[in-house]
Amino acid sequence: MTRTGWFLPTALVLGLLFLYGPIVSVVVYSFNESTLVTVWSGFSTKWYDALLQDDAILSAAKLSLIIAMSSATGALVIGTLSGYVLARFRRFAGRTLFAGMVMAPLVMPEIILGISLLLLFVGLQELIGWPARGMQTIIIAHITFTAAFVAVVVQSRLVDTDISVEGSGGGSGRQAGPSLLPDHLAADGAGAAGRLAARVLAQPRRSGHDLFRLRTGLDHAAAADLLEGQARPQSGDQRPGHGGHHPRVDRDFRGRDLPDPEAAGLTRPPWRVIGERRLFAPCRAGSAARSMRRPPCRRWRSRY
Amino acid sequence: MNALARLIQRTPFGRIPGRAFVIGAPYLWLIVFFLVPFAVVLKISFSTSVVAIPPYEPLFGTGDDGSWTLNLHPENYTYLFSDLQYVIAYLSSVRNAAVTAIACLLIGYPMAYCIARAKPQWRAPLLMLVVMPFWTSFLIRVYAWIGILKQNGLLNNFLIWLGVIDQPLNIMNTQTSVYIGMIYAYLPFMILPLYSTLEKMDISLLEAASDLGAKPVRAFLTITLPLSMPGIIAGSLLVFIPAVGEFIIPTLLGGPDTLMIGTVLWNEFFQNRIGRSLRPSRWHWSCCWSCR
Repeated sequence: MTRTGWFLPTALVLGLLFLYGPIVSVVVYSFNESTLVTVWSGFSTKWYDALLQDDAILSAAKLSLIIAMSSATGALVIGTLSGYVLARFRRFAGRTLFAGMVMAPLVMPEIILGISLLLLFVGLQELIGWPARGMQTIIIAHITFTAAFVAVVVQSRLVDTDISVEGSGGGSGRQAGPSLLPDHLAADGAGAAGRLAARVLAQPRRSGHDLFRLRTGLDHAAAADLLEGQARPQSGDQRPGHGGHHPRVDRDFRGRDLPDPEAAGLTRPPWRVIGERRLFAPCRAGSAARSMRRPPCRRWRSRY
Repeated sequence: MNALARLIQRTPFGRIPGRAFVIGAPYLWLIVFFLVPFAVVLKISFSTSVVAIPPYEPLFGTGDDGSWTLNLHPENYTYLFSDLQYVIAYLSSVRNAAVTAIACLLIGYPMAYCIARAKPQWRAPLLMLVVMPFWTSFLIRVYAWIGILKQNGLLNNFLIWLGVIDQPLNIMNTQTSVYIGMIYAYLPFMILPLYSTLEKMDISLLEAASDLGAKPVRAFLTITLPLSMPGIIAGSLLVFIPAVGEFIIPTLLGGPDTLMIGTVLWNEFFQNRIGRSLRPSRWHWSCCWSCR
């Protein structure tokens, strides 16, 4: 703890006033006697009486509660499963698509998801007569939208959890699904359910980063291309005969000589220069890997 | 519980292995309710609108000889770029979102920094204070701003009472009110990632800097700011991306001059093309959006 001066506390207090001012104003003016929202004419609780007698609002509130509880439950199930899959199953068919679909609602405007779901429901209703638009469809849409938040929280918790804990859940480790579900629903799911909103927002460490990773992953190729063009040649670090701005990398990871990329039949060197860093292209175990004597890898990486 | 899990796995097709079940259940849900809707939208985007039910031509048709034909109409896409309204709306949403993100950063950074440097026992309650506005319905918070900003609202009454102004300021239904509403709604999304990076920062680096003679401003610019860059970027994205598609704040607080792509989409969808039959009632509409 060090001294923070006057500026930071002032900013914090002003910011919190900004956040709570409107809410407080609504609460205060709910005791207003006047029919006009912002003209104070005396203290009264008549609006609360009116609220208790307004069946439309009360039934709407009840419906909201039902929808909130069912969609929270559904989102918990779907989100926990997706988060578990993302954290524990490294390889399966269509993992990239799955991860993309899980994370996409976090970064997508709600209106787009809403409209496309509406179109789906309309189409389904014509085809099979289900679902009728109403509570069910709202719940489905909410589950789809909020499962992403559960998934991010569960995934980040599971990544931090020791995998050996899972062995105690069931007999054999191969039986991943059934042996793990109860334990993890108890350990992570319950926590996620109870404090879902608080967790997502209070521990955004992973979620923020994942989001960032997702976006940068998408934009990576474009950014790399852009930056590559601007990278300046480094003196004494050039290989005559190609590109000009690629730093010289003529040893492989074991220290052996590397062939010239062009001589090896590659139209472009298997790395990109971003600032002063080199990123090496993903490399499948194939002829290119053999000719460049590189270990196969699936991502752009900074070490050769 | 294992018995329960086995029961869930029992399907008409025999027993599915656990791993396949765990992957398959969310996968199926996402494909049906996330991927397929986009396919539907994509399909409709390539067809032309007609006055019928459904209000667009089928993408796959049968020719005269009974063969399948594919009717692709790219007109919608050319129309998108030929009508300046959409381009302008998009650009202005991007501008609004950028202004919101930058303002949130400027307001949120000191707040996050202050929370991160507070005594440890104070951090959790302060963070809770930042999160708690989310416990109030989003619509109520936006409506509260209407009460504050309108012609005879709280802000104008207060300023007139103070004697700062004679005439009420015209803030409501302008660009300013949209900015205020959006900054208000998205500020916590900026503070939380910033806090999480700032909290992890090593204070001893700042002490070292001041030992070596750096003034606080310089120490902030050379140490704190670069180290908090991941938080700045994450927070800006968390604010910017949803803010581009925001349509409820411009609808409630904005005026005729605030054109945002979300609002345009909404109008386009429920008034121009698909027709009024699909349009949800006003109540339904507020129900949908109050739980976000």
